Amino acid sequence: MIAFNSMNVRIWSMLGSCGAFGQAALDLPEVNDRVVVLTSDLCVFSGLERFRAKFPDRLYNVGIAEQNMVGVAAGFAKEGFVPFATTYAAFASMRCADQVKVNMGYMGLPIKLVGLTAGFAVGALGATHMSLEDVAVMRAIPNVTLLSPADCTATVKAVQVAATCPGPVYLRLSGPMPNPIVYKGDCPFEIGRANTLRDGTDVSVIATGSMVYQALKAAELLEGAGVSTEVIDMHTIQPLDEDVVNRACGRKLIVTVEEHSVVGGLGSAVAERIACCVRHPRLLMVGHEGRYPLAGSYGDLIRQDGLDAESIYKKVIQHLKEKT
Amino acid sequence: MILGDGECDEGSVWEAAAAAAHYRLNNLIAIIDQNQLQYDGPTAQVLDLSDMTAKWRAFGWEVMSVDGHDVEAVAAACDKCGDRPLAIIAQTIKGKGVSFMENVPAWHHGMVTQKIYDQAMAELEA
Repeated sequence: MIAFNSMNVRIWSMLGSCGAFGQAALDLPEVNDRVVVLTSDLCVFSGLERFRAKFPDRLYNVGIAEQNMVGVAAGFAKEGFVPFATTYAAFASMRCADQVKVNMGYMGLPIKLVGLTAGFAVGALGATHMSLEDVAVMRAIPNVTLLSPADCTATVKAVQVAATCPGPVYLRLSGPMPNPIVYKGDCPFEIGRANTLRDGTDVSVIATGSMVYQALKAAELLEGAGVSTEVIDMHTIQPLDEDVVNRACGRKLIVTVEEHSVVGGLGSAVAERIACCVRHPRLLMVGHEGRYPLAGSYGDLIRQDGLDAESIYKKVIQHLKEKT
Repeated sequence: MILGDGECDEGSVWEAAAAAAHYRLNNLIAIIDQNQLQYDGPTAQVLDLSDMTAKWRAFGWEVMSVDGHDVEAVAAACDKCGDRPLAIIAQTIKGKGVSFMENVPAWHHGMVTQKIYDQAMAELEA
């Protein structure tokens, strides 16, 4: 079994979320003997070279044909296998949306669809490869469990959780390479149960994926400015941890942070939930807004969208001022 | 329209190919950049599309095969459009003219630094 020791945590972080997936995959046949892995010309990119060498009869590269990959995965699932299928998050969610709807949503087949480089991780390739809508698409499809790990440690954990969970899963991998470390060792990863990483009473910051790290840094800045800030790692976006959201309704402000469009993402999920509560504070949704950005480096794209800790901190301070 | 040979793995390419022939789009030319490499390696290993000429012809296209680095040959082929859409299979070498890039799959997705750029340009201009 994979050890969640500090050396591995550092290695996974250096490899980034795709490489961490490949490392976790090496252990999958041990976690679940029925696991097979499919990819669409992204074997190397998904860190699966060692997996292919070790388990050649469990790795299927279908070429640049993502829709067919989901179809092939459905076939494997029907035959009792547990297929993991990898491609860029943009293609997994948008190009394959109908195959996902029919095979994962409608038929409920236990396909584990891995959306690589969600958000801006391959922003250098331009808008075609940015994935700012995948959460919105997947949230709209019933039956699909949507996991969005905060770092590479949580990614390895999420892969293991996905392998043992009975239904269809969309695993959203995000963040730069190297990937900032949130979890220095083994971490809790229970589907539908968010991790509270920092306690606070004024503001509740609910973040997901790569933005958890930025949220924690922003919380430190807020604490310095006298704002007691709670940080929640919402690693499961569907089903959402409603208890945590209900609890956050007791704060002065709820902030959601995601490397995704504010339309249909984590912010929307939280908004839909709190709209049903009798009393709730204002909600500040931090994420991508408006048009597709031009191609750029990860750091530049994040800053441009105000998704870095400093920008998040400023937005929260401004919001708190506006309210009073 | 320019297509990669790896890109021809996509089903949408063949849906478009069928529609273009059905509607006899004789003003449509597809140049297929056949460098025989995609992200994970040689196209024949990742997903073997075998005889590209036969495939495009079977979809109802006129097909020509040219040296993709011979610009005049490509231009001349473009004049051959008849009553059907035309597919020009351009045989190319990925990274042509740059010794350390030629036929190296990693350059499918490689990032060019200033230093690498200078080296490559020096070779191309030599």
